[in-house]
Amino acid sequence: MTTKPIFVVDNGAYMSKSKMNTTDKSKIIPNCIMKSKFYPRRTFIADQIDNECPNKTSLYYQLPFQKGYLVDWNIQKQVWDYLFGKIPFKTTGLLMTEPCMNLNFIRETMDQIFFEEYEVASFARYDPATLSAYQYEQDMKSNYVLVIDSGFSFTHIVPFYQGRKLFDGMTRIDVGGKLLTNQLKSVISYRQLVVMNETYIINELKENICYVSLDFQEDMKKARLPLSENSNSLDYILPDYNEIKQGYVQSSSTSTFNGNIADSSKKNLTKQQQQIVRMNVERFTIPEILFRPSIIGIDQAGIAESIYNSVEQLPEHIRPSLYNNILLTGGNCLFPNFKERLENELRSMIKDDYPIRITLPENPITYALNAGVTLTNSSDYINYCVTKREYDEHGVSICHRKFTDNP
Amino acid sequence: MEQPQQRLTRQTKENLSSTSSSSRILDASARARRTQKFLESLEQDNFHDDPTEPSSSFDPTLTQEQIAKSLSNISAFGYSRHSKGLILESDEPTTTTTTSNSSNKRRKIQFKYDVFKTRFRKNLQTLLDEELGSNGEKSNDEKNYFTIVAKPSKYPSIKLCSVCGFLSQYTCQICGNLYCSLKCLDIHKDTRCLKFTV
Ligand SMILES: [Zn+2]
Ligand SMILES: [Zn+2]
Repeated sequence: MTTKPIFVVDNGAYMSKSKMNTTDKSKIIPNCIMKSKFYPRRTFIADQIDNECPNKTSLYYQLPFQKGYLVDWNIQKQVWDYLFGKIPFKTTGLLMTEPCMNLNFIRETMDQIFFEEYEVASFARYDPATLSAYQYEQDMKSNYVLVIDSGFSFTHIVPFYQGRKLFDGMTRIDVGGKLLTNQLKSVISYRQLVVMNETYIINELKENICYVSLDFQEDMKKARLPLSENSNSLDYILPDYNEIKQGYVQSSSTSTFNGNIADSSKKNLTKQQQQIVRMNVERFTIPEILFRPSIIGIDQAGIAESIYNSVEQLPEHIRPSLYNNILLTGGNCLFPNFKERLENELRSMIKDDYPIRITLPENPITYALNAGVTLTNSSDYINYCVTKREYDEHGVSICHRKFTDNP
Repeated sequence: MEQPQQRLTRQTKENLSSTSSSSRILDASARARRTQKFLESLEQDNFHDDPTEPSSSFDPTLTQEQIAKSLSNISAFGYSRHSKGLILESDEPTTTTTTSNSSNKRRKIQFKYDVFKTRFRKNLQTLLDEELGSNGEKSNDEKNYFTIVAKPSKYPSIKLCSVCGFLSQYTCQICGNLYCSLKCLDIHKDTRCLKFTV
C-alpha cells in the first residue's frame, strides 16, 4: 500500500507547493487565476503568468482562499486540474495541507472531491504545522517543538508534543504577507505613486527591500538623516515591462550623489519614463506590523509576545523545551533579521535561565512540503491516510476520525 | 482611469457637499468603524475591476468606491510623476476590441458537486457562522477558530505619523489619526481627515 507514489501538495492561499514523493523536483506555483488587461481574452492559471504574461502591470487576481480558508472551489479546481495534469490518481495517493483549525464544511468537501471527483488511491490532509513538527521532531530528536507558520493570510503559533498539538497553546495572529503588501501599497499610494492595482510589483518590492528592524528607535533616527548620509533610504525602480523587466534598487552611486536624480537622467533618456519610489521608513515599518499589529489598529499582540502568551498557557515544566525548539516556517520568516528580532524580543520577556533556540530552515516556504514527503515515505503512513477502499467502506466519517486523531 | 484634474474636481465637490459635516468630530465608535473598514480593505484581492468583464462586479462584498476612498488615491506630497494618472501604464497597445457578450461567454464547466455552482458556494462568513453553531454544541473549552485568536498586547503601541510614517506624538482632534508635525497635519487635513468616513 505505502509503496504507491504519493503526490504531496502544500496548498497555500498564495502559493501551491508540491512534489511527487518519488522525485526530488518540487513545483511552486501561484494558487490563483490572474487576468491582464493586455490579454482580455484569456486567463492565466497559476504559473502561466510567469511564462505567458510578460507584462505584470495591474493584474487582476482571483484567489480560491479568503482569509486563509478555501471558499471558491471553482477557481481552486481550475488550479488543481492544471497542477495535477496527467497524474494517474488511480494508482497515486494525495497528501494535501489544510489550514490550522480548518472549517468542517471545507474538510468534508475536500474529502469528497478527492475521493469521488479525482478518485485518488489514498488521501490525507494535515495542516502544515503538523507536518513541520513531524519533520523537526525527527531531525532534532526532540519531543517538543513550537511551530511558527507565518504565511500569506495569517500567522499561527502551534506547540507540539510528540507530534500532537497542544491545543491550549495555539494562537493565530491575523497578520500575513497579504496584509503587509496591501498596507505597503496603501502607504506608497498615499505618499508617492498610486500603486493600488500593482499587487505583483509591490509584493516583489516588499520581498526585495523590506527588513525587520532590530532597533526601531535607532532605525528611525537613521531614516531621519538627510539623504546624503542616509543609508536606509533607497530609490527603487519599478518595472515597466518594456525596458525594465524587474524592479530593482537604483545603484547607490547615483542615489547617494546628493540624491540628484535629475543629473543622472541626462545620461539616460529613458530615466524620465522610469517610475521610482523612494523607500525609507517603509522598509522596516511594514514588517514591524508582524511584531506590533497595533501599529495599524489590529488589537492583537505580535509574534514574540504571542509566543510568550502561548507558552505561558502550558505547564511550567515543558516551557523551557518549547522555547528551546522554535521552528520558523512560512514566507514572512524570510525578511532579513526576522529570527534575530524574535530572539531578542523573547529574551527580554522570558526567564534568563530558559534557553532559546530558534531554527530558521534553509527554505521556510517548502519546509512543510518536504516534511509531508518524509511522512509519506515513512512506514506507518498507512495509519495517517485513508485509502480508497476504506473510504468506500466508511465514507467521510473515517476521514474525520483518522485525520483528527493523527498524528 | 480618470485624470488627476477630474479627480481633483470631484474631491472639491465632495468637500463642498460635506462642509456641514466637516466641523463635526468623530466619536470613538466612528473612529473604530473607520479603523475596521480600513482593516477590511487590507483583505481585498483587487482594487480595480476585472479587466475582462468590465460590467460585472466580481466580488459581491467589494465596495470599490468606499475602498478607493478609504485608502485615498491622492498622493500626499503631490509628486509630479504621479500626475500622469495611472502610473505604470505602459504604452503597449491594448487590444481595444470590445468583447461581445456572446463570444465572451465564459466556459461552463460541469461538476457534480454543488460547491462548484456559485449559488451553493458559501462565503467565509457563512462558514464561520456554521462553525460557531456547531462548536456551541461542543464543550466550551475546545479550541476553535474563534478562540485561538491572539490576545491584545500589553505593551503600548508604536505611534507612526499617518502622513510621513515617522514617529509621531500627536493625534488629530477630529478623526484620531496620528501626525508628527504641523506640516503633516496640514497635509492630513487636506487629504484624508474626515474625507473618507462613512
Ligand atoms: Zn509626519
Ligand atoms: Zn484628522
